[in-house]
Amino acid sequence: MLIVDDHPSFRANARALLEAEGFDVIGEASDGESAVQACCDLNPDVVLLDVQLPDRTGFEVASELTGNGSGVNVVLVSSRDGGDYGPLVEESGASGFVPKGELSGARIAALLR
Amino acid sequence: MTFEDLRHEALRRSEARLQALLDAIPDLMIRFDRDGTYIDIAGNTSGLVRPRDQMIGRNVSDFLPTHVVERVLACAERAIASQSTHTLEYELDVDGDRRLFEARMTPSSGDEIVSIVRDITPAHRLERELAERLREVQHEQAFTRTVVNTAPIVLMLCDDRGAIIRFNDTAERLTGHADDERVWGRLVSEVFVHPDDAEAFGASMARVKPGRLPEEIECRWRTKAGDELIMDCTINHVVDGQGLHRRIVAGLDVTEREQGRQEIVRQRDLLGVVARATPNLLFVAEPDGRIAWEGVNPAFEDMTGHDDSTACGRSFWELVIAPEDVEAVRAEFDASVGSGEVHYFSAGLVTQNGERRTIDWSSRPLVGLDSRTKQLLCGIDVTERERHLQEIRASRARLVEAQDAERRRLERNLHDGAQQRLVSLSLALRLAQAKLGADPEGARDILAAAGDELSLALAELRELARGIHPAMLTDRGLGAAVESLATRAPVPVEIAAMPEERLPAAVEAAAFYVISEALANIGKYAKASVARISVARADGRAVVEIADDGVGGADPMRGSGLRGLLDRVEALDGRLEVESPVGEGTRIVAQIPCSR
Repeated sequence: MLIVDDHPSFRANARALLEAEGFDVIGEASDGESAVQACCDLNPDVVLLDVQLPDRTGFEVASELTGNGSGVNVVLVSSRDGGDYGPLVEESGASGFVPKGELSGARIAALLR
Repeated sequence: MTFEDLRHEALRRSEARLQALLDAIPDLMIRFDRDGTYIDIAGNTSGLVRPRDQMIGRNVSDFLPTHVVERVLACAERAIASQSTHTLEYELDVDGDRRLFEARMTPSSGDEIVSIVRDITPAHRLERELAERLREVQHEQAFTRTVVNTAPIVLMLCDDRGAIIRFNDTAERLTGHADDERVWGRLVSEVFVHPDDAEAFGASMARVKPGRLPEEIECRWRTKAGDELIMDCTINHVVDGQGLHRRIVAGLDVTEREQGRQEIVRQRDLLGVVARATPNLLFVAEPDGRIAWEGVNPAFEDMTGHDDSTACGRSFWELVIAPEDVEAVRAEFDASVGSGEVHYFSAGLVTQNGERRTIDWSSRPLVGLDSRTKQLLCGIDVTERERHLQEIRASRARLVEAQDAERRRLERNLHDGAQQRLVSLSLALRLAQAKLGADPEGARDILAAAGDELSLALAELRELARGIHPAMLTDRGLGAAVESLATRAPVPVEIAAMPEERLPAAVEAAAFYVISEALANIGKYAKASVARISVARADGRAVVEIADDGVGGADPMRGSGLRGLLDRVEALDGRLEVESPVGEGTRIVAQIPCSR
């Protein structure tokens, strides 16, 4: 898994939580550009992608990652509620959305099935 | 010749003279006796009903109708009885013509009567005609008197000096003076004319001469009660019934008409003054839009640069209306002309030197000075008002924009700050919970870190709340809030003055944000070593001043910070001034009314 978020404390806590639940976190990125680059370099199965990034929106990054035929699964996260984004999640090609406060390995696994 | 001869000769001559005398008398002389027998007929016999010779020796009853005979004999009897002349008038048909005769009967010797008979038909007719004419004259006089006395005009007959002879009832009614010996012989100018106008009236009277045109003079008269009248007088020369040269004064009371005219003149003068004094543009237009000869007022001249000489005769829309508005203006103007109602419209105006203004016009039908219906156009210059309105609209838009930006900033701050920490906290707590059984030590470390995270989240929330509205300002007032601001300011702050009493909440908030923004700007741009703040209350206003010793050069129109402050202050009817000469520091002064 690649974790993409501009807040280091979130990345650290998410990594600890998901690793404790059996995920193998292979990398982290703090913005859209580095996320795309890390994806190419590390070829993860899942990208945990924050919607609000400093340089681009998570939806744009998700579209790019899912549109290049790599077959990567993108799970969008945000501290906002998923209802705020309407159809953007689906249109971006992401597998789903999880509010940050509800993040868990089980929620991600459910979206990947 | 004997004495007897001489006597006979004298008698014969006397008879001859008598005969000549009788022949010379143009009347008919008839001698008849008491019973009516004709004895002799002499004189003018042309009017006899028969030849003289056939009548002598016969009786009056042979020739005259019975009723005439009776009266003739009765009159003769009276003359004989009284031995005096008696007169009888009687009518006879002579050759089919009805004629009137007068017989003067005088007793002669014995029972004889000498009657001198005269045909008085022409005299009688003349007399009748005269009587008829006299009646007519009397009627005419009565009519004239009635007219003279009932006509609503003063008529006064004077002698050639202007002394009163008599005047009509109208003069009596109007002036209160009776037409009697108390005024007869006195001068008109002395009795009736106002002392100030008496000399002019007297001069007019003196100029009246036969063959000249009548004198006309409008002058003030005074009634017996002291009221003033305005009289339009004509004085003419006239010759009276006795051939004397007189003056006749005919006077019309024009007091009301004159007062009405003076009132109209006063009103017109007033309207003229108003039209000249008003700052509104005024002009009169013909129904086809050309500016009428009544012209334009000084305000129009001042604004447009066109005076009567360049404006009259030209259509006003070609003269001053902005090209893009001409069509709409013509439509409104034509509608007002057509309906006779007032129409209002707004249009751009272009002055002679090309300056553009915005004018609110009204087009109102009115009767022009030459009694034709025209349009009065009145324009109010609303350029400044429109500019202010636009400024207010822009200011409102900026306030709304600033509010939106502030909300976005708050949302972002909440999202990036406290919310992220709380998300992390949530994850940490769940992680600690998961580790509690297998790794209690690890769970304790995570909880300790979570506690620190929570403290930071609380601090960020406090800071955020202070940014929304400093609680200290509400609770403890401007002085305490500014002191708190000063302790966190990027440069040393000197607080020179602060009002002891609380100001209205909106004023305190505006003053606080002016100071807060100014200090933030000083920190960002001024490179100052010190800032000085003072807030004082003067003339019902709060005067807020922030000065620094930095680089200056601040422009309130550039950047949203100062512009936002300006909007906030102006929203409270206040003023914000920024003095920031390059190299000499910046001084911001806000004056905010406290009595709203």
